[in-house]
Amino acid sequence: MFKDESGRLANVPSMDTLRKTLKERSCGTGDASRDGKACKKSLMDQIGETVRGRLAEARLSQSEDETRKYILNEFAKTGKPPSEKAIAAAMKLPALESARLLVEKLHKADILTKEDGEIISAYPFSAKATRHKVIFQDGHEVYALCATDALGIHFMLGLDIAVRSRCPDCENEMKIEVKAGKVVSCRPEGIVEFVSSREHCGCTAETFCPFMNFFCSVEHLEKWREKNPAYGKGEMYRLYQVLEHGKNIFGAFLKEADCDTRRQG
Amino acid sequence: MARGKSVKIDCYISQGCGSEKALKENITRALEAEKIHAEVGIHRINDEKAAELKLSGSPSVFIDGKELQPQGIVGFS
Repeated sequence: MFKDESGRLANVPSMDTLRKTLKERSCGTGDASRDGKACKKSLMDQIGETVRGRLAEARLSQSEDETRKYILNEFAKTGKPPSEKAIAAAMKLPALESARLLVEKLHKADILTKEDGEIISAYPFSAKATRHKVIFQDGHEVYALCATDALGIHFMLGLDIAVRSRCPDCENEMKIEVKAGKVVSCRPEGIVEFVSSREHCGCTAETFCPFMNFFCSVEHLEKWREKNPAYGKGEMYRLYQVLEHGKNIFGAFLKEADCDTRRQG
Repeated sequence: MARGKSVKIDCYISQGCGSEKALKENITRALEAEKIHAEVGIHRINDEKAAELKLSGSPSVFIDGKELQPQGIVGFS
């Protein structure tokens, strides 16, 4: 039996009860406004805006944006970033120093990350092993920075993929296949993504990505949250939502000309 | 136009339960009123499956994996 808003019992939930709950859940954090104002954006919407916003704020020239795309394409093909020497040669830059300065600009804009002078990630790819391995139909593999990035790679490249990821609770492997914009299979069936809303500052790859993971099931997620209270606050998404977020963030990542056309480089 | 993120609604109903029509109507009207997009699943299940899922009543409604008004009463009928 279900209680309606006035406390009466009924066999099915009332329309008002459903409306109230749906309003809360659709806003992600349960803080839907009660006065009809727009609800709070989901955590992933905010992260997506940050990633896209940093690219726009970088105001890359056309040649700088071409270099960014070259780095991403090399990551996609080999799972590794190109060296500065390779960048200089491919982009026909006048000197190695030009490539170094360009990579540094992308680093400062949080479009890629570096360690010991080398590129180690460029959204959505990681040169280091992560929980999320993306396997293409020809068999080659790359690592994604986070769960959303893994599915986003499908939309960025327009290629069918399989994602193998490990559940942070049980460490068992999960497999998700994405073809033509849809999840065509997933094992186990109840996979969800959790994005921790722990206070973050600094670069997204280091602060957000390690806490955006797939879990085998809602039950495993809840167990993990109990064991990790510092990271337990956040939002859970179903696979169709992760797919939507991946598409929104990365769908135009290699297509759009987010460059400052007044500064043709 | 739908607002916010999409939700997933799963309804588990016992084989003999006659509440499916009323439940679907209320869900449809609530979604329309709130202009929310949802993936709605209606699952007719037997007692064994209900016990396996630890469901306490029919219908049991889950929105994004969280049960709406959990009953806390053992027995699925």
